[in-house]
Amino acid sequence: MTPLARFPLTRFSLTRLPLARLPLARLPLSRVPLAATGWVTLLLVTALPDAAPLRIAVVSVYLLFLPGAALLHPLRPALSGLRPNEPGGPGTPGTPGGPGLGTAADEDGRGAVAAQNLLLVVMLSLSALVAAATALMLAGAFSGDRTLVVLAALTSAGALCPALRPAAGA
Amino acid sequence: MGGRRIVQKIISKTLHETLEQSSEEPDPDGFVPLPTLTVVICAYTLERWDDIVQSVQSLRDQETHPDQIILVTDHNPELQERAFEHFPDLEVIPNRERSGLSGARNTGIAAARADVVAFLDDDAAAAPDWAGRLLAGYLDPKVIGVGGWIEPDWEVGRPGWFPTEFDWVVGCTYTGLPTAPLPIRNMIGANMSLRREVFGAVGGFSHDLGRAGTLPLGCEETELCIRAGRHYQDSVILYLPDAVVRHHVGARRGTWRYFLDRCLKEGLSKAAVSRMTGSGPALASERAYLRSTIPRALGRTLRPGAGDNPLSTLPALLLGVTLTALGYLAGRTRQLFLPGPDGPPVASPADPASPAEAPAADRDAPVRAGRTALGLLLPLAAALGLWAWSIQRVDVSDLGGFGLPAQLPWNYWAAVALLLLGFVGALRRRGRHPVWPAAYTVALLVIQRATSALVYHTLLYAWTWKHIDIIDRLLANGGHVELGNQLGAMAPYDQWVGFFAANTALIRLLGLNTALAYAAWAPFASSLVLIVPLYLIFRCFSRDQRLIWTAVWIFFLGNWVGQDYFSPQAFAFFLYLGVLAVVFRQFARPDRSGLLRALDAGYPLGTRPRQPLDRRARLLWTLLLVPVIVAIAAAHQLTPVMLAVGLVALCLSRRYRNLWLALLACAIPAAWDLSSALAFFKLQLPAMAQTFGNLLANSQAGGGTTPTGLGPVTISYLDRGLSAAVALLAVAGLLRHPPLRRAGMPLLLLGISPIPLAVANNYGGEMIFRVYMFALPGLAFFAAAALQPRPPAARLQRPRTALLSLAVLALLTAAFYPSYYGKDRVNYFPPGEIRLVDQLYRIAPPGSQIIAATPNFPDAYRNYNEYTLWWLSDDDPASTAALLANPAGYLGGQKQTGWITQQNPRAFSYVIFTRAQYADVAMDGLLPPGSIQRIQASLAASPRFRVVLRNADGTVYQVLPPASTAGSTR
Repeated sequence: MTPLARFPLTRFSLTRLPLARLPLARLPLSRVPLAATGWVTLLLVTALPDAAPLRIAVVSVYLLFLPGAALLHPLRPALSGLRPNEPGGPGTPGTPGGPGLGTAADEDGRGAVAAQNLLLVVMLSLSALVAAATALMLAGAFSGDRTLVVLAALTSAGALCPALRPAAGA
Repeated sequence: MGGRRIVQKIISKTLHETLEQSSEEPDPDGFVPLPTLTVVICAYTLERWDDIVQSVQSLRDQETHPDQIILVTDHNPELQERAFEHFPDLEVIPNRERSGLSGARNTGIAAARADVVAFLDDDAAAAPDWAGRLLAGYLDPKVIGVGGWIEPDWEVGRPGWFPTEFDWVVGCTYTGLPTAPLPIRNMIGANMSLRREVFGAVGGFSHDLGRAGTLPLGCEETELCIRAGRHYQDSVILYLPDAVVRHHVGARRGTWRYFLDRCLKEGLSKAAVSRMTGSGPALASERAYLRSTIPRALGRTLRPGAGDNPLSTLPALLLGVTLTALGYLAGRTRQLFLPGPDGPPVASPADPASPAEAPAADRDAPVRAGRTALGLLLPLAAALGLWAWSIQRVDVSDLGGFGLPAQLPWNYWAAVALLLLGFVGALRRRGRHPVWPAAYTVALLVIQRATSALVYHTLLYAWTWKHIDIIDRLLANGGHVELGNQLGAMAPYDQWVGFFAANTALIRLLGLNTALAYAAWAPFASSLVLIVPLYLIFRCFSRDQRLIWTAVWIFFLGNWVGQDYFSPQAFAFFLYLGVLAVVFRQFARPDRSGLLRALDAGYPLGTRPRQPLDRRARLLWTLLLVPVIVAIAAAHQLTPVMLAVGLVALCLSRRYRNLWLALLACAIPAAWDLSSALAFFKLQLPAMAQTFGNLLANSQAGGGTTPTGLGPVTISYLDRGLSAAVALLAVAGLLRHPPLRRAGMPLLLLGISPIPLAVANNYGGEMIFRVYMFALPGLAFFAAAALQPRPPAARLQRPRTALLSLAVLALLTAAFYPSYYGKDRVNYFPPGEIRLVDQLYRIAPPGSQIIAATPNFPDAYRNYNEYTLWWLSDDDPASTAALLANPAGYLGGQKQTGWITQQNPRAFSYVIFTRAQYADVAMDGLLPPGSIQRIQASLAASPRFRVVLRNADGTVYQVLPPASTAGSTR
């Protein structure tokens, strides 16, 4: 166990990020759709009439799932028990057969891990909504659109944030 | 991770060396012999004759000539004869196994003699250096298979809409596969090879998935490669993009219809592979494909000026993914009805710590598929059908002392009974897929809690209306909250504004006017979301699905307190359980080891303790929980305290001793209480300190209510009985299963941790109910354990145990309904009552005073910041006595109503009595019986009180100022 002082943030050097090898103008393309969902929702909210079915569907789905998914995204590989992404390179078709990389998932059926992930996504999304709306109200600057802007910014930040590497020795 | 990089280095190094050497003259000193090669081509139709000829010719033109070329004809005598004549230098043999590609390939393998067997499709032509490059890959002994690049050779040219990411549809290499040599999971059949000994070790291609004729179901290569990978743990399957094969793609394959059909079939095949090998390895690369390749493709099409990825490929991308997913889901759903091993996938054979119960665990004998599905689905469908039929005509206009249950027709109860029977039946076999009990649980919630939303056409329960009024105020004033105590009794809703803020934002974003549109569904929705965290929590302490699902049912049957309505409590409770689910799953610590612990872990009803995570992972999980705890603290007063108490109680167990987490759970609400809610505590702290520790006062339920009348009294006994029954069952469960008690100690601690709070504060008469609700998960688990027999458990649940479960659940259900719906005479507001209140608030000018017997009428708090509200039942006994002695005189007094015209000449006092208030006073004993009638009689006779509104459901009196009585006309 590493003492807290040697927490891997210091090992998290920027040169290891895939981002650093690309020109700064290039975004990680695979994460752009997730990052864009908040802004797309905002667009729909301003464009569609009140209580339009499409607007209700899109806003509900967005608020229930996407901020949580984006917040979870950078931490996903580093939390044992969740399937880690293969780091580096274009979509690699997977590792050869062998034991999974999560030690905490040995007794779990895939159903339990999927259920846990779903729970996390919904919890985090609702918590983000509560936090954003409350913060805006306490600051005296509340409006529905502003709450959505805050959530969209959060979603984009989470989606574009590079994923933390899994713990060494995994 | 490191091992793979080393292998990569070795391979590329070896490749470089061997590729250099192969172009040199054979050197007796340093010559490395390439392995021998057999190429197998499988053909099935004469229509492809030209392609076959081309294919064979390409093999003849190889620089490194294969040692053996085999052409297998798939049950086609004419083709066999013609090929035998035409290709004298090949071995042309008929398929000796089952018809299909797998059989043909297996026949080829059986006839092969060389070290390496390569497969080439009959409509593919190999590049001249293909064989050489393929064989070079085998120079490393770790390599068991080599696959190559497959270039599509479009007969009529690539269609404009066909994205390169979907070239696998036509059996070719797609964008997303690597462009450098790399180990991969599986190869594409048109260009693959394996060492011949591999087939000897793991067998040939599987028949269950194979391809017959033109129907591509495919994926037998995937399944074989996964099988081989499992057997040869340290080996790799190598992908060499330099070994190129050109695959002829006919005109028919470039059509939309083929594309979509192929995607669907691919999804079905992947479902079949998942079933055979477990979905982990089967879908690993597909997940990577969905997560990076497809989004990247989408990103590229949307980027302006994209050259080779025009926007026209976008529909194909989206439709392709959708159809493949649909095919996969359809395949998996179909499997639910098939017999065979269910539950977690086949464990890796190298796992040394395999649970001891694996050999002892009974593999359920395969049951006839049709009977299983029907036996499980029928009661469920029938119950839901009966329920839907029964709620069509429920008359709620005259609910009696027993509330809704007295009005529900016989078919409703039949539905409930059927559901119970079906659920107990679904649990009879231990190994059944958990989706069935889950479906029954959802149906239970539908029947239990969605009924109120469908039967009552107006919103139930005065407190729901109160919350809606709060949100309406925030919508009207643009989200301005008052953190001081200006709003009096309503101030805490602004001081803990999280839930209301979120709903205000939601309503604005949806474009609705008010929360009335969805608040009626809150009981159903807030209970539905609890299924997942409860399942996860219980799963941490038991592997027995019967126990887990029975515990979930006991929770929902025991949760009569009705705190699931549209409220901050329901929302916070969901987050509370979610946090606990994460804590129990991820925050385990290493425990004492020893014989007793090992035995407890092996107990069939128990489970192995969760694996502890390393410090970094635990820190990240804590970080993940912080926003959730903040949301709980911002949304509700009591739940953060319950969470903190629970986590502190968990620190008493060694296994879940997380001091930092407990500290965080205390610090965050404390920070909130000292900032946003500071005014509340400044005001209330002296009173809270005084009542602290007063057990009698604090545990008294209902804040001064006394059930009056046969119905309410019976109901109060029933709900107490229900709570006691669950508690007693829990004690029985603890006594019956000592291993569960020891291993489940954290859950037990969690269950009893809220109890001391009953002593701490009264919480408006609600504390005892909340304590019960927060203790219920822990209690439900052990209560369910009481119903399980002591092991060794039989394969089929013994009839006696099933009957016991059924009986207990039925009793709990019978007690649940009166407890949950019994007070609906008080909670239900007919439309006439709502109209009356609506009219009142239209005519009452802002600044007026609204007087009522109790706040139990709909929309009582509309624009509460503009009105003074006075509930007669809140008064102290002396005032109440004065009121009842002379109602008109008392209410007309200066202190009561006289002051208002002096303050604001345009404002008045109004007295409103409604049907629901009558019921409330009568059934809850808030005022002496007959009080409202007496007050009304007095007001009617008095000249100071004028009736301004009246309908069948209530009356509104306006209090006239003293001066105007002289000139009043009645």
